Order: sequence, then C-alpha cells, then structure tokens
Amino acid sequence: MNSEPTAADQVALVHTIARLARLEIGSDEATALAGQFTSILQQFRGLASLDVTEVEPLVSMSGAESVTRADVPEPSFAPDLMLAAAPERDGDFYRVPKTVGGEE
Amino acid sequence: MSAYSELDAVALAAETSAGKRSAQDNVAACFAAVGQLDRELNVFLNTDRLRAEAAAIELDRRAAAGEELGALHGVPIALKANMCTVGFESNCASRILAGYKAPYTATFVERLVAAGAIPVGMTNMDEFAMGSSSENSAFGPTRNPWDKARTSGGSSAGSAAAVAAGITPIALGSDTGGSVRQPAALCGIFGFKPTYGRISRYGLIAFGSSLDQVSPFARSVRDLELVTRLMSGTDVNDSTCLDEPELQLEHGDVQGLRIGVPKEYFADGLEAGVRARCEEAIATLERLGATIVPVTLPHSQHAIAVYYVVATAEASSNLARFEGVRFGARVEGDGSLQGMFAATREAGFGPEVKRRILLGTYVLSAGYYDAWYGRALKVRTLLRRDFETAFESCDLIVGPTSPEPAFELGSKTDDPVAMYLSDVLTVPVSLAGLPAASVPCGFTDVGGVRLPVGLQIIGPHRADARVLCAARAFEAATTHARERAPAFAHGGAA
Amino acid sequence: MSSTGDTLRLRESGYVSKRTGTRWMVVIGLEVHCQLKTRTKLFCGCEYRFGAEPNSITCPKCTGQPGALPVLNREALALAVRTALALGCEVKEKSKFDRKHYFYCDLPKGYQISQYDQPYCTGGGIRLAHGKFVRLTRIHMEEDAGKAIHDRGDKTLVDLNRASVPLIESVTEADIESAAEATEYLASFKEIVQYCGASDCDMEKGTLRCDVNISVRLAGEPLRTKVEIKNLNSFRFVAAAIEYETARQVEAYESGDPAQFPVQETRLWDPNLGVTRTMRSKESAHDYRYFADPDLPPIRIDRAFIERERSSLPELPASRRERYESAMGLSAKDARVLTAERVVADFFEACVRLGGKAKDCSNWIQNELFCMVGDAEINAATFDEIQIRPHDLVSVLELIEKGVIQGNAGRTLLRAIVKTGRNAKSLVTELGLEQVQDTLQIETWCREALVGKDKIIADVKSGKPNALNALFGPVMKASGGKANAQVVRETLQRLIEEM
Ligand SMILES: [Mg+2]
Ligand SMILES: [Zn+2]
Repeated sequence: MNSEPTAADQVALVHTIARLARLEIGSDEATALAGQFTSILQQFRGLASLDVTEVEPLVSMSGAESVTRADVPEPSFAPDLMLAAAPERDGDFYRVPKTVGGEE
Repeated sequence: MSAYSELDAVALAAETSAGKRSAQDNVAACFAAVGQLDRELNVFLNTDRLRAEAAAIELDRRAAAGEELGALHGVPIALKANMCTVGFESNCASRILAGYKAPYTATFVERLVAAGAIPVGMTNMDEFAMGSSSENSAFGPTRNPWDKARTSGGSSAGSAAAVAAGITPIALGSDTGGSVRQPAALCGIFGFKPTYGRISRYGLIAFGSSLDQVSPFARSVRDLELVTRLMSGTDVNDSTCLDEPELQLEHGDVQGLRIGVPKEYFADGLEAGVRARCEEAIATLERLGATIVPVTLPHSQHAIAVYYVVATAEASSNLARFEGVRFGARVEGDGSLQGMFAATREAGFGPEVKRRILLGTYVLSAGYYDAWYGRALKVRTLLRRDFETAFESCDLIVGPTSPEPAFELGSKTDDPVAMYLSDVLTVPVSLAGLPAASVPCGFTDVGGVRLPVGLQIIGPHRADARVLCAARAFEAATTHARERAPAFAHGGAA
Repeated sequence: MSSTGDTLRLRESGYVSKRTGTRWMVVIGLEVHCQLKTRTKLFCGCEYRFGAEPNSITCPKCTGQPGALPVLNREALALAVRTALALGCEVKEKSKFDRKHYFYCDLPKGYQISQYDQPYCTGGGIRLAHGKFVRLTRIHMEEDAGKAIHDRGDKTLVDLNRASVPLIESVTEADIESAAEATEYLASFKEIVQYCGASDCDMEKGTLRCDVNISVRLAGEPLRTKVEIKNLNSFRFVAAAIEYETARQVEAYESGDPAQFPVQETRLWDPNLGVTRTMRSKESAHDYRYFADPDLPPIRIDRAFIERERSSLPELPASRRERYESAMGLSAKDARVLTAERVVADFFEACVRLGGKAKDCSNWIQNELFCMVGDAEINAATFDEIQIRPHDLVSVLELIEKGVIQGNAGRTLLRAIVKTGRNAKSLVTELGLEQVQDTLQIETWCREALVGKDKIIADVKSGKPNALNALFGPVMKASGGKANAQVVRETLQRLIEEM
C-alpha cells in the first residue's frame, strides 16, 4: 500500500491472487483486471488515513457468544439426495480427476 | 372480488381464507401475470406452475375441511434465486450453479410455506447477489416496470419487479449492502431489511455472511410486518440468529419521535428529484408529529471501502465451495484436480463475481490482511459507533435510499467503481447491522420518464418495529405507494 | 531434575554421524490430531461411525451445500476443555473459530473451520519419565476433512462421511530430541486423552494422527531448516521416520553441497520403503487467508464450565501408578500394565475397594481377564466388553481365600461367570467346584498316584522334597482340581514317610 506498484507488478499480483482463488485468467483479462484493481483500491485508500490503533475490530454481528447445540444426532441425508447434484459420481462416491494424496 | 394484483398479501389471504377466492385462483392469476409480463421484464429465472398448483390444491382442501389456515393462506410468493427450496432451481443467476436443486429448504421459506404462502418461482438477480442493477445475472437483466430501458436495481431485481409489476403481492430478496432497499426504491415499492440476525440465514446462499439478511418486498407496510414476523425467530440451524421472535409494534405513528437527518446523506451527487422528494418526505414526517434533528455520521465516506473489503473477503471464502465436486457444472480443464477446479470456476463465474473473488482473496492474503481486511473491520466498528452516537439524539434516521432513481441499463456496466457508489447510502446501515426500510416517497422526472424515489428509514439495533411504525405512518399519510407502474398486471384474471 | 542428570542426558542425546563421528542435535516438535468422542459431528447432527457406507453420514452442513451453516457441538467443546485441563493447559476465556482456506476434493467448503490466532487453550505439557518436560504450545479445535480414495481406478473417489468430525490439534514446542522421546511423549499423551474420555486415540482408525517437525543442528548453533513429515499412522512409523529423517538431514549437511541441504518442505513417510519423500515444497506453501468465521459467534468459556469439566476429570495414569506402587505395593511393571487403559485401572481399583487384595486382583486381571480378550468363547474384543463386574472377581478371590474352592477351580468359575453372567455362589454349587476336604478320599487318590513311582518315593526319602511335585499333579487331576492342595501335600508326605 505504501510504494506505488508498477503496472507489471499489478498484473503479476493479479495472477498470484487468481492462482490462490483457483481462477484461470488469461493475460488480457489479467491486464484489464489489474487496471480495475488499481482504480478500486485507489478509491479505498481513505481507509489508510484513519487512526484505528485503539479500535477493536467488529467481528461478531449478533453480539451473541458461545452459541452451541446439544450432542444429539439428527438423521443424515440419503446418499442419493446428497449426490443428486454431483457432476460425476461412482456408486455413492463423488468422483474427481485423479490426484495424489494431500491438499494441493 | 377484487382483482388479484390490487390486493396486498394480508387482503389476499383474508379473501382466500374467507372463501371469496381460492388458492388455485390466486395461482392462476399469478401465472397469468407471469405470462403477460415475464418475457418483457425478465423477472423469473424459473417458475414451477405445477408445484404451485399442487400446493394451492392442498391449501384449498384444508380450507374446505375447515382446518386452521395460516396468515399467508394461498398467497403466491416469489423467491430470489439464492434461496434453497426443495424442488426449485436455486442457481443464483450463475452458470456455475445452473440446474442446481438444493436437497433442503431454507428455514425462512419453510416458515412462510407453513403459513400458507405458495412459492411460484425463483427470481432474477445479480450473480451471487453481487451488483446493483441485475446486469451481472448470467441470464440477462431484469427490466424496470416503470421503464423497461432501465434497471430494477439489484441485486434482488426480479423479486422487486415481481411485486412492482403485480405478479406477486410479496417477494423475498436478500440485502447485503442494499440489495432489497435499493431495488424497492427504484421500483416504487416497500422493502425492509431487518436487524442482522432477525431472520435465519439457513438456506440463503451466502454472499457476505456478516451482512446478508433475508428481506421482504411488498406493496404495503403491513405485508412487510407480517412476512418479517413469520420469518423471525431463532433457528437451531443458524448460530447468528437473534432470539427476537415477536415484532412488537411500538406505536402506529411518528408522533413525538425524534427523526435524525444526517447531512452526509444529502451531500452533492444526489439527483435533484431524489433530494426534493426526500426533503418533502421529511417535512411530511414533521407534519405527522416527528421532531427533525440534524445528526452526523462522520465515517460514512469510508463505508463503501469497508463494505467492499469485508463483503468481497467473505464472498471469496463463501464461493470457494463452488469447485465442481459436489454440485454445479464442471469443466475438466487440464485433467488434474486443481486444474478442474480452476477451469470450472473460470467458466462458471461471471466477470463481476471473479473481480470480487479476486479482491476478497487479495485483502485476506498474507501481507495485505492487516492493511485491508484487518483495518476494514476496525473502521466498521467506527461506522457502527457513528450510528450509536447519532441514535443518542434521535429515534430514527432518514435519508434517500439511493442517490438516483433507476438508471438506464448499460450506463454503468463498464465502471465497477461507479456501480459500487450507487450503494453509498445503504451500505453503512448493512455494516452496522441495523434495520432499515425503503418506502415510496414520490417520483422524479428524468428525461420525461417518471421514476419512483425511495425514502430510507433507519432504526437502532433491534428497533425493527419502530422502523415499520414510521413506515406505516408515512404510508398512511401519502399516496405514492398506490401508484402503479406502466408494466403492471392490470385486468386479466381476477 | 538434577543438573548432573541433565548434563548426562545431554551428553548422550543426539545423533552421531557414522561418516564423520560428529554429534548432531535433533530438534523435534509434534502435531497431534485427536478425534473427539462425541456422538455427532462438530458442526452438524450427523452421527459419525467409522467404516460406514460412503457418503451415508452427511447432510447439507457437513458437505458445504450452498446456504448451509455450522452450529457448534457443545459436547465437543466440553471434551476439548477436559483434555486441556488434563494436560495442564490454560483454557482461554475467549476464543473463536476461523476459516482456513485451501482447495482439495475432500474439503467441502473450500475452507476448514479451525482456530487460528485465538485457540481455546495454550501452554501445558507432559513430563517424560527421565524428568524432561515437553511443553505444549497450544491446542485448538477444528473439523476434519472427508476422505479421498486414490487406489480405485483412474479417478479419485471422495467420501465425505468424516467431513466435519471434531478434532483437537495439539502442537508441542520443539522440545523433543529423539525418536524415543517422541514415542514416549505420544504414548503418554494418548494415555491422558483416553483417560479423559475425550478420544479413543486409535491410530488404526485414524482417531489419533501425528505429524513431525524435525531439524538437526550442531550444539550451540541456532535452529536449521525444519522439515514436516506427514502420514505417520503408528508410533513405530513416527520413530522410524525420525530416525530416517535425522540421518538424511545430517548426511545432506555433511555433503557440504548447499544444493543438497534440506529445504523447508512437507514430506510423506512411505512405510513400504521406509523413507520420507517430498510432498510439497515451500514454493507452493499455502496462504490460508485465515479470518474469523462470521457464521460462528465467539466462544466464551466461563469458570463454571471449566470447573464442571475439571470435576469430571479422572485421576490420571501417572498419579495412579505412583499410588499403586507406594500405597498398594505393586511392582512398577504391574502398575504400568494396569494403568495402560483406564477401564482396566478403574476395574482394578473397584476390586480393591471391594476388599480384594491388590496383588491378587492385579494377578487375576493380568493372567485371567486379559486372556479373555479375543477368546472365541468369550466374545469380547476389548477389556471393556468382558461381561464381568468387579464384585464377581472379588467373590472368586474370596472363595479361594476361604478355602471353598481351589485356585484352578477359581479360573473355571471366573470363565463361567463371564459366559453366563450369573453370580459366583450359585455357579460354585452348580458346577461342583467346592474343594474336597475329605481326607479319606484324598488318601485314596494319593495311594493311586504312588503306585509304581518308586524312583520319586526314593528321591523324596533321600531329602529331595521337590520331587513330590511330580505326584501332586496326578492327584489334583484325579480330584478334578477340587482337592485341597495343602491336604494333598501333607497326605503324600505322610504316606511316603510311612513306606
Ligand atoms: Mg489442523
Ligand atoms: Zn452433517
């Protein structure tokens, strides 16, 4: 937010963020988005001018705390119902492209 | 027997319960209106006439059998396409959810159906509720019943148009940053966003979880009250839901109320007719016995920034579940799992949704969190404090709902920032989680077109009833809400 | 812990390079995930069962269907707090749930609900036998992911039954210095958590999972690059992986080639090859984009809640072992065996409270009851499933002590109790297990046994009383195990002397 990023920086940033968000974007799209990004963030710069050191972040909207439920079973849904919208299934499994273990 | 489209939900339910008309008559009239107007206005993404008729037959049977009837007995209702309802396609106007039918029904829909309401279809919206004009729908925009060249607002455009066009007396939208109040204003009807947490969000497909609130549209304030009351109350399926089941109306008027007018809501950039109508409305309220007091909301200028940081951050997270494994359309991509995710999301989301996912991912990502998301949450506290301070000197706050009336379709699509600014008067309320209604307060002439203007009435936290009381007093004292749009389901089936 | 002891240990710890003879220090931290023993999942009412049909225990909430919201299971919170108290952690009055984002096919929402910067507890730890205290950094609650199955055909299959099952993740400081310390820590951790009733901690069923963070350094040096090892589903693998990885890292550093130095990465343990291999390098490290979950209000754990959980804490195994040795006079080995599982320790203590002698109870539990687990006739897969009350064992022991039955008959009786569920007294009569005290009858059996045993008789007479034992068995056998052993011994002695 401090030093001015170059247009190339912005495009690279858009690509990095897009990868994180699992959005495949082409280079034209990235350039366009980088421009929009810059102008949107420009508009939002006023936020940086406020002194918020003593301010608590607003995290809970309802003001409630420790909302819990009892450990009492409820009926699960039938596999057919849950899998009805799946793009691909194999028996009662969801099916996805082959992947090795672990996240990513 | 009055014409279907002339009645509000309370009157329609009363006539239906009294046997003056049947639920099946209402469904027939509703679908006649759909046939007459849906093609030109693009109100619905999908309707289910057979399902509605089946529900009506069952309601008529209950009436015939002398069973107890609900407060919305036989009243057709339109639902926004981000509301899960078994049997209907809840696609959020997105290609990524095309064909998606939820395996469960939202709590608020269940409560209305239990009261006798008949869902007839899912209305058009900005994709995933992201937008202010419905131009971000993957299925084309909804047109304004007052002028088909113009927007119905957004994101709950279809639901607003359904009510403004007389297709259904009531409809549900969701309001995240103004998505019910703004289209209500632009379509000349009532819209009410309750206090955050009054209505369970279970079954509302999330956009910004700390902001989203199910909100009704209606052509009368008593309908807003009724629908809100029926949907209210704790829900075991929503941890953020307030324990406020009853909506107790305080008084039927504004006599003795102190009404605050924030100078920030009447800044430059307000369309002249909007300013004039709102000032007249304030004068009307004063005439009705309210005391007008100036108030200030000094951090309002930061509301748009805070809103777009918080809402997009939450949206980037909420929309991570759309990756082509359990539901929705899938695009295989390069054959790998992660490639499938990326290809599916790329093909499935429209440009504005992608823009917001990127923005939200950015403000949460390592190195940027503190400067953007962390800071926005703190400024959000300041915005809420602004209201708390203002409400020390007044009971309600009023101002315009939207800085301008319905704009022409296509006029802002190239400029996301300009589009974001159209929410400037509604987002502060959303960020603070407060209740607010938009009520019709007259018309403005734009290039020879007569367009409705909305007055926003904002209450303190949990003072939903006070907001609705003032709205009712204003409704009773004026005739604006009785005016009908050019595209209105007059005549035809009774 | 004495300073000499400390120095001694330090001198002995570490890893000595085979090539250079250099002693390297090993620095280990553990991350342990335990599945909490609730009936339902952390954020929905689905009732999880291990091994159920795929996707048969799911609902809109645990599969991340659009519009569904999480609601926290109170019992999960209670079990988590109880565990924290047992491990000496500080339970925080305020905590919250955060969303941790990454994309994988077994993670339904695209984020895991976990705890990031405000976990529900911090601190605590476990003291190892030689006195070292392994500190816990924190424990937090989180939901589990589903399961991706990779070994069926050309696609990956996904089962979401396990999605949103409650876990606690505990993280230690890097206080552990060897595979032996790591396994001791884990065994002790598992024991404590099981005692709390918070988790079964069954690595085979995946209710206990462990990741290892490991680096090596030379004495006096700062820390070097840390490597994480995942996929360790037995204590044996933990030890083997630590040993393998220590050697690998030392070898890499000693090669002198910086290109070969360990990099910060996640490695997987391959149990078939006994090696670790790269899973994900730092370049593809995650940016989890944590933020407070707006669907879940913050958690406040008040004093009353903590005290309620504290009062439900059982006496922990270390303290019990201490007591069994000092107050009951059991050997260290017996104390360890009896406390390894809380059901056993609880059963043992109940027997002692009912008047059983500690040593007898201990012997009978270990020699008799333990053998019944897995016995085809008994039908008990675990100690818990053996159909016996502490009262039953004490009754059997009393009958033996009073001389009503023989030790062997006691064993028969105990099995009969377990199989029939009836009480000791009625079974003794019905099975005719009372000891035979009739000296005449015993004398007859003894005379029969002595026939043709001249060699034994001669041995006994020549002052080898142990030779008598060879006759003892046949007499007892003839009596069906019911003859009073003392009477038999005396009778045999007398008859031989008379010969
Ligand atoms: Mg974890
Ligand atoms: Zn579930």
